[in-house]
Amino acid sequence: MDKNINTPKPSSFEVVKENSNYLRGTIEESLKDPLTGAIRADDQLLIKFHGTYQQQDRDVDDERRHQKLEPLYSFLIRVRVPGGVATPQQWLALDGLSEKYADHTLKLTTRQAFQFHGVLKRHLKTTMKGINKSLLDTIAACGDVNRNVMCSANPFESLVHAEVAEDAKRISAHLTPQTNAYHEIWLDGKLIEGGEKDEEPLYGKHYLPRKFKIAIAIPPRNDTDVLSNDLGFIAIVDNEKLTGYNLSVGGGMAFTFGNNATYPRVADVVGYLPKEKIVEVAEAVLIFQRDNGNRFERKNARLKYTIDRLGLDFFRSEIERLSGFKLQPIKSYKFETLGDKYGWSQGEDGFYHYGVFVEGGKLADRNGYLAKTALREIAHIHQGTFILTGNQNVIIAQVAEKQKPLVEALLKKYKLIDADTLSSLRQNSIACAALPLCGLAFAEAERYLPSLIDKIDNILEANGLSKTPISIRMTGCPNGCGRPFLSEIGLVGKAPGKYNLYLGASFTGDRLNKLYKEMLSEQDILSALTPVLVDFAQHKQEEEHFGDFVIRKDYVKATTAGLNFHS
Amino acid sequence: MSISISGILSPEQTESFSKFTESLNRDQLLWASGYLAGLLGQQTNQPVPEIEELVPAVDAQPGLTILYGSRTGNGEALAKKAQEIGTSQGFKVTLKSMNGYKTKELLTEKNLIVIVSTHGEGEPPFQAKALHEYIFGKRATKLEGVKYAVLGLGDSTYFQFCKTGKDFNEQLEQLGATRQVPFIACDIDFEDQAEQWLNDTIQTFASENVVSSTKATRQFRMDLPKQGEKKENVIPYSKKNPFMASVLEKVSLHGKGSTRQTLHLELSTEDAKELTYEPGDAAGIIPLNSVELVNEVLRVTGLSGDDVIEIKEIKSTLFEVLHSDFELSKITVDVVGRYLVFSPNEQLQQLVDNTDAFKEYLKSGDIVDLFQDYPSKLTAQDLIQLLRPLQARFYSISSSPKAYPGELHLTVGLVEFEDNGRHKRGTCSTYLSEIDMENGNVKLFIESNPGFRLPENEQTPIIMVGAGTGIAPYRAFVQHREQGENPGKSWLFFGNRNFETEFLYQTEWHDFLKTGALTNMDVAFSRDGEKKIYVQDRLLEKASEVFQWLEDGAHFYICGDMKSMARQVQDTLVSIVESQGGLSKENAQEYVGRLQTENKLQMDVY
Repeated sequence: MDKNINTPKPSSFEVVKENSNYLRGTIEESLKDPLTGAIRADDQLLIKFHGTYQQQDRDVDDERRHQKLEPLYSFLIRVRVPGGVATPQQWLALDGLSEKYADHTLKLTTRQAFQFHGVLKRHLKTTMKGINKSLLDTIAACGDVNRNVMCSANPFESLVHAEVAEDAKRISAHLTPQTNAYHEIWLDGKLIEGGEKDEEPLYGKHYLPRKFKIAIAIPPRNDTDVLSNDLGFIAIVDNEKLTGYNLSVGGGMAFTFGNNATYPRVADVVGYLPKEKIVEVAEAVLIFQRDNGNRFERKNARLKYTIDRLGLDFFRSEIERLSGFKLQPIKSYKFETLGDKYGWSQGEDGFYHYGVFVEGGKLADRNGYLAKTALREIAHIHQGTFILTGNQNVIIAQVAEKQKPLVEALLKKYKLIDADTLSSLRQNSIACAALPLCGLAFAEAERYLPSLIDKIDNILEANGLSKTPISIRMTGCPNGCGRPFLSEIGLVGKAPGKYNLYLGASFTGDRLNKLYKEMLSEQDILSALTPVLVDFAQHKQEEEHFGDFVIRKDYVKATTAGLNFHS
Repeated sequence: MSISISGILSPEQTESFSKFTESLNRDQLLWASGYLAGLLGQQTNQPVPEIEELVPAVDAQPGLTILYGSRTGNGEALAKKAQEIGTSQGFKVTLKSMNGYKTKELLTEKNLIVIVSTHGEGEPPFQAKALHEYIFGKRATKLEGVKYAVLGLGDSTYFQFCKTGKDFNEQLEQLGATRQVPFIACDIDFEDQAEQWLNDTIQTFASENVVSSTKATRQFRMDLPKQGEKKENVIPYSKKNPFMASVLEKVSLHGKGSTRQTLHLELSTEDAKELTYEPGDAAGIIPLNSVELVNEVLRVTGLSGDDVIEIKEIKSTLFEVLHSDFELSKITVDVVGRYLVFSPNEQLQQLVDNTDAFKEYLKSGDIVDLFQDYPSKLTAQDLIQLLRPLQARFYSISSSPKAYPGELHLTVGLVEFEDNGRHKRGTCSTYLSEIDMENGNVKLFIESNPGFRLPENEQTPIIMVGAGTGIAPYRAFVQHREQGENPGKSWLFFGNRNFETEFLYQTEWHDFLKTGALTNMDVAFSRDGEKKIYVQDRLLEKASEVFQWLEDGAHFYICGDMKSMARQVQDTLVSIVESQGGLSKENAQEYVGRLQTENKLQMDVY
C-alpha cells in the first residue's frame, strides 16, 4: 500500500474486509454471545457478504430503552435465486422457514430474491442451514460482491426465457465468492461439494469497492429494470432464437440527500456480444470495477461513478482488453413496459402461467387475506416452477393444462386478488421494506404505500385514468431499493410522514425522473398530484405516458443523464 | 502478717496469695505494694467495679440463651429484643443463631428461649435445619435440667402454620427439657404479641431463678422498657409506622410480546433520613385492595359499600375498610374456621375435613370464592370480624443506597392468573402497577435480611444465581460493589423464559460488564430452545470454573423461587463439588453444608 501520507485513507470498510480473513471476522464469537441479540460492529459489515443484515425493530426502540432492554435486534436474510426461478420444493422449504424462524412473512424483492425478516440471532444458523438444504443459498446476496443475477420473468413471451435464465445462473455461479467462510460458519464447515482452497481468484481479499448488480432483460419487457444495474444484458432474439446481448453499464439508483456528487444513473448501452461471450464480458466488467472503483469514498464507489470519472471510451477499451473480445455495434431492441403481466396466459411452449399480484412484495396472511397460505397450498400440487419478478410479484409458471383447474381452484378458494380489478397504478407499484426494520429508512414505504394509492386511485377514477398505466414507486430513503428514480411517480422518504416527489421518468425504464416538490405530507402529495393528473387526463396525447407528458408540459425538465439529475 | 481477703479472691487465690505474702520481708512487701499500686494506676481508665456488684456477676447471675433461626431479620430482631429484656432482668444473656450453633451446647443450656420461623410447607428455615434434624435424630441427648420456651414465627396463610416452632416445643419436652411457658405461634402481625410474650416469659424465667439465687434478687429491675420508646430510635419506620414514599419512576421491564409482566419501581426515600437499608434487605409494602376486588366482594356478600361499621370505636364505611384494612385476595385456615362459625355449611365442613382438597382450595381461593362457593348472608360487622388484617408484602430491594442515595428500587412480578372461572390478580403487584405516578405514595418499611449480605471484604468473589425477579438483590449487590474502591470478581447467572422480552435489566448488565463491576454473566432462557434450559444447567456447563471460584473463597447466593429453582441449584452445587472436587456425595454435601454454616452460601428464597 502507498505509504505517502497525502494519499487519502481507504474507507474503514476496506480495512474491515482486509482484516476479515476472507469474510470470517469474529462472526462465530458474535453468534455465540448469549447476552445480546446483536453481533459486533465489524461483523455486521461482514455478514452482509453472507446474505444477512442486522436490523432492529425501530417501532419499539424507545419503549425498550425505557424497559432497560437492548433494541430488538433481528436479521434480514436474503436468499439468492438466480433468474428468480424456484421449484415448488424450494418454495415450501422457504415458506416453512419463514413460519418457524422469521416473522411469518416472505418478502419478494425487487431483485427476484426472497427475503426473511425478523430472524433472531439464535435462529440464524438454523435458518441458513435450512436455506442451503433447499439448494438455494444466501452467499453474496448482499455485500461488496456481485448480487443476485436478475432475468426477465416472462416465460409466456419468449421461448428463449429458459436459455436466458440459464445464462443468469452461469454468470451467478462464476462470480460467486469462493471463500470457505460461508460453509464454515453457517454449515458447520461441511462443504456441499468438494473442499476448495481459501482464496478469491476473482475478488481478492478486498472484494469489490461496493455492491455490484447484474440483470438481464428480454425485450419488450424491462421488468428487471436492466438499466438500473451496474451491468446489464439485453437479450437479442432473432427468429425466435437467442443470438446474443446488448451490453449496458453504469446504472444505479442510490444517492445521498444533500450530496450532489452522488446521483442515480441510467446505464449506457455500449455494444453487442454474442451469447457465448456473456460470462467473459461479465467478468471483465467486474474486474474493471474491482481495479478502478473508488475505495476511499464508499458513496462514490459504484461503477456508475467509475465510468463517469474515467469515461466510456477508456471503459470500452479496458473491457475489450480484459475479455479479449471486441464489442460489436448495438442491435436494435424496444422496451414497452417495466411492469408485469398478471393472471393467466399461455406461453409459446404451450404451458400456462399465472401472474400473482403481491402488493409491496409482502407475502403474508393478514386481515383474512391468506395469500401466503394460498401459495403454499399451490406449491404442494404445482409441478412447474415459481418465478419471482423484478416488480415484487410471482408467476406460477409452467402449469400443464390438466393441472390448471387444480391451481385455479386454489386461487378461487383463497380469493387471491385478481389484478384486473386493481387500478393500473397499483398494478405498477413498488415499495421497499423501509420501517420498522430497515435502518436506512427515514419514512414508511411498504406499510404506507397501499393506503396512499387508495387515495390517488380516487383522483384517477374521477378523471378516468384508472386503467391508464402509470408507475409509482415509494422508498423510505434515497438508496433506491425500490428503484424510485425510474418511476413516473417517485416518492422518496425524507422524514417521518414527509416525501420528496419525483416526476418525469419514462414508462420503460430508460429515463430518470426529477425532483418536482420536496418534503410533502400526504395531503401535500395529493394536492401536488391532482392538478397534474387532471391536466394529464384532459390533455394527454394518444399513447402518451404520464412521465413523458409532464416533460412536454414542462412540469419538470427531462433528466438526460445521471449527472444532470440534480439540476 | 495476714489479711482478710475472703470474699474478694477465690479460695485458691487466697491460698497462693497468703503463701506469697508470708514469704516476703518488709522491704519486699513495700516494693510489692508499690508495684501493685502501679498496676492499678495503669488500669485507671477502666472503672473499678464496686465489690457488691461483682458478687452476682461472678457466680450468681443466671444465664439465659436466646437461640434464634429465621430466614428474614424478624427472628434476629426479636432475639435482640429478648436480650434487652433479659439483660434488664439481670440475666447474663447469650444471643445465638441456630446457624453454626453446636448441637451439643444444648445440654449445657440452663434457660433457653427458642425463636424459630417456619418456611414453605412446614419446613425449618435453612438456618435451623441442622438443629432441627439433631433434636429429632438418634444422636439427640437427654436435656434434663434445661428450662425452655419456644416462640414460633409464621404465616397463617400457610397450612403448616408455625410447624417448626411446634416441633421444637414438643421435641424439647420429649428430650426431657422443662417447658416454662406455653408455646406461642406468632403470625405475620407478630410485634405486639411477641413482645408481650417475651416479657411474660422472661419474668417467669426470672422468678424461677430468684428461688435459687436470693443474693441476686435485688439486682432484678422490674421496670420494663416502655413499648416503642427505644425501638422508635432503632427502627424508625415499621409496619405500624410506614414511610410514605413517592414514586419517581415506574417501568414495565418485559418487552412487547411477553405474556407476563415485571414492574420496576423507583421510590423516593429522600425525606426519610432514618430509613436505611443494605443490599439484600427487603421492603415491606402495605398495599390496598383493588376497587374491582372490593366491588366483587360487595357483590357476592350482597352488602353495600356505604354500610357504616365500627372498628375500635372508629366508624368507617365498609368500602373503605375493605379497600385498605383487610385481606381479600387470600383466605386462610382461620378465616374459613370463623366463616364456619358464622355460617355452618356442611359442604364447606366436608372440604375442611379433606386436608388435601382444602389445601388446594386455599392455594388460590379468595373471599369472593368463599362466598360464591359456599354462600351465606352476613352482616357487614360479621364480615369484618371474619377477615384478617391486610398484610404487608415483602420485596427484595433492587437498588443500592450507595448508588442511589435517597431512592429505593423494587422489582415486582405481576401476579395474574385464571382460577375458579375468574381472572385473579395479586394484591400488591396490582396495587403497585396501578399506582398513580403523579400523586401516588407507597407505604413502606425496611425488613432487614441479615442472612443475605455481600461479603464484608469487597475483594471476595461472589457468584449470584437468580431466576425471574430473583435478580433484584443482585442489581443492588452489583451497584454496591461498583461504588467500591476495588471490588473483586462477580458472576451472575440469570434465568427467565425469553431472551428478547424477559431479560430483566439487560442494558444495565451490559454496562456493568463494560465497566467491570460485573465480571461474568451467564443466562438461561427456558422457552427459547427446543429443550428447556435453566440456570442450574448453565452452572453445570461452567462446573470447573464455578468450583475454582468456590475454592478461592467465593460467596454463593441463590435468590428466587424455592420450588422451581433454589433446590435444583443447591443440588447442582453439590454435584459440581462432587465432580470437580473429586469428593463422595456425602463429602460434597458436607462441603456445601460448610459453605452454609460459614455464611458463604446464602439464600433468599420464597
